[in-house]
Formats: sequence, structure tokens, C-alpha cells
Amino acid sequence: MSEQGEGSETVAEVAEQEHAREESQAERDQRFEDEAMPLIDQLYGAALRMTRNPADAEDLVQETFAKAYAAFHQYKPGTNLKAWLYRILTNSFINTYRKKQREPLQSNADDIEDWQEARAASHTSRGLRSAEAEALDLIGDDVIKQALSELPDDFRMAVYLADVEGFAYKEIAEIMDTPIGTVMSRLHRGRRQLRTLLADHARDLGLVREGR
Amino acid sequence: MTDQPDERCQCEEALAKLEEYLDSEVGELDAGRLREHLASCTSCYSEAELEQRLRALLRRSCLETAPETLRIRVRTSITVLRASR
Repeated sequence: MSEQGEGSETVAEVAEQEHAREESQAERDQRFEDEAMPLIDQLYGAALRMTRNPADAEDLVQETFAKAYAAFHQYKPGTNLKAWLYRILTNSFINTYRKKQREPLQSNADDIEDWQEARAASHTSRGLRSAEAEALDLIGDDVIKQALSELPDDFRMAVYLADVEGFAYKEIAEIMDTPIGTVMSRLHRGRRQLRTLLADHARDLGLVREGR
Repeated sequence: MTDQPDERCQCEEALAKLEEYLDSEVGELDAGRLREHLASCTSCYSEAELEQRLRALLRRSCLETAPETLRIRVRTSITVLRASR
């Protein structure tokens, strides 16, 4: 088995390992500056959606960068740095801010309902009808963000990671430390709830007509 | 492919796989079947379009720029960590 492991190492991986051994602290600091720091806008965006307020979002991002900097020697060059940082962000959020925020509504929403049933939904029972698609573009960013903030934490994070950041299911599973099946369930239910909320907002705003 | 009785079945199958398809998480075989169905089914096509519109909308509305004060805070905390090493 170990033979196989060694055999599967690519030239690039070996080169990276040698690179890591040779890298000085100053070089690593520079690499952190060049590769991690430019992701601050994205991480701040994610932190805002997670914490739902700018002060906590800033604290969360600062904590994330401090932890990432301290652990940067553990990051393997050439692997997905963005996913690595998002994992630190997500862990920090769960361990610090979610506890602090103590929202009674934010209990883990998984497993309450069998989402498989809902998958067989018809064309028209998905909260927002296809014919109302045009109305979506008229909805302001604030309303979209408000609707997103109304989702349970786990759903909101899955939807954000997939739809805004474009992470693959496997990456989201690693970031959220959960099986892929759970990711799919959270995504499906989160998007469905979002559609329902947006349909409500669109009706409140008079962008779509009541009823059929 | 053109069999009428299968149409409902095809829609159910397509809708069940649609999310994974739009997330680029289905294999080429399934993707091909779905593309074919979407090309011939108006209601499934508009459902797909709506889902894509939602994703684009989320991306647009969630674009943020970190405040300059936060950049300074992050840099300062890293400098402190570096000095204490």
C-alpha cells in the first residue's frame, strides 16, 4: 500500500514538497501575502452572510486570517487555498459566533423533513413559478440578502458556498465537515426555502400578481 | 425519445436531477440526457432557467468589499503574530 502511495506521487508533488522544505519563513510570509490576502473580500462576504452583522463579520475574518497565518505551514501548496481558508472560517464561525449568537431558530435543521419526498415536486409547487422569473431581476440586492439571512445557518452556508463561491459538493462537504448527501440535502432545501421567501417578498413588493 | 407516455416520467427524472446538473455534478451521460430533455420540454427548460437566474442573482447581490479598516486590522494582527514568533 505504501508502495502504491509513493508510486502515485507526481513530479509536481515531489517538487512541491522539496519546495516546502526549502521555503524560508520570509518566503512563506510572502506567499501568504500574495495568495491568501487577496481572498479577504470573498471571506468578508461569506462572513457577513454567516454572522449577519458587519462587526461580527470583521472579527470572524480577522480570527480566520490569524489562524490561517499561524497554520500556514500545514497548507499544502498547489491544493485549494480558498477551500482551506473557508474551512477555517466555517469552523471559527461554528465554534465562536454561532454559540455567541445563540439564536433559538438556528438549531440544526437537518433531518426534520425527508427531502427526497420534496424532490418529486411538480413544476408549479416550488415557491416561485417559472413565469415569475423576470420579476427576480427586479428584486434588489438587499431583499436577496435579507431572504438569505432568514435561512437556517447550515442551509444558508451550503447555498452560499455553492451558488456564490461555486464550490463543488465535495469541497463543501470538506468545508462543512459533513457527508456529501447532507450537503445535497441542505442545498436543495435551502434553495427551495429561498425561492419561497423570494416569492413572498416579490408579492409584497407587488412585483408579481397574487394567485395564478 | 418521442414516446408520449414517457413524457411525465422524463420530467420527473429531469427535475430530480436538475439541481445536480446545474451544479455540474452529474456525469456526461446523464448531462446529455438532461440537455436533450431540456431542449424539448418548455416547462423543464424554464425551471432550469429560473434556477440559473437565482444563482446569478445570489452571486450579484453577495459581492462585498472588505472595509479598509479590516485590512489594516488583519495586517496588524499578522505583524503581531510574526513578531511574537
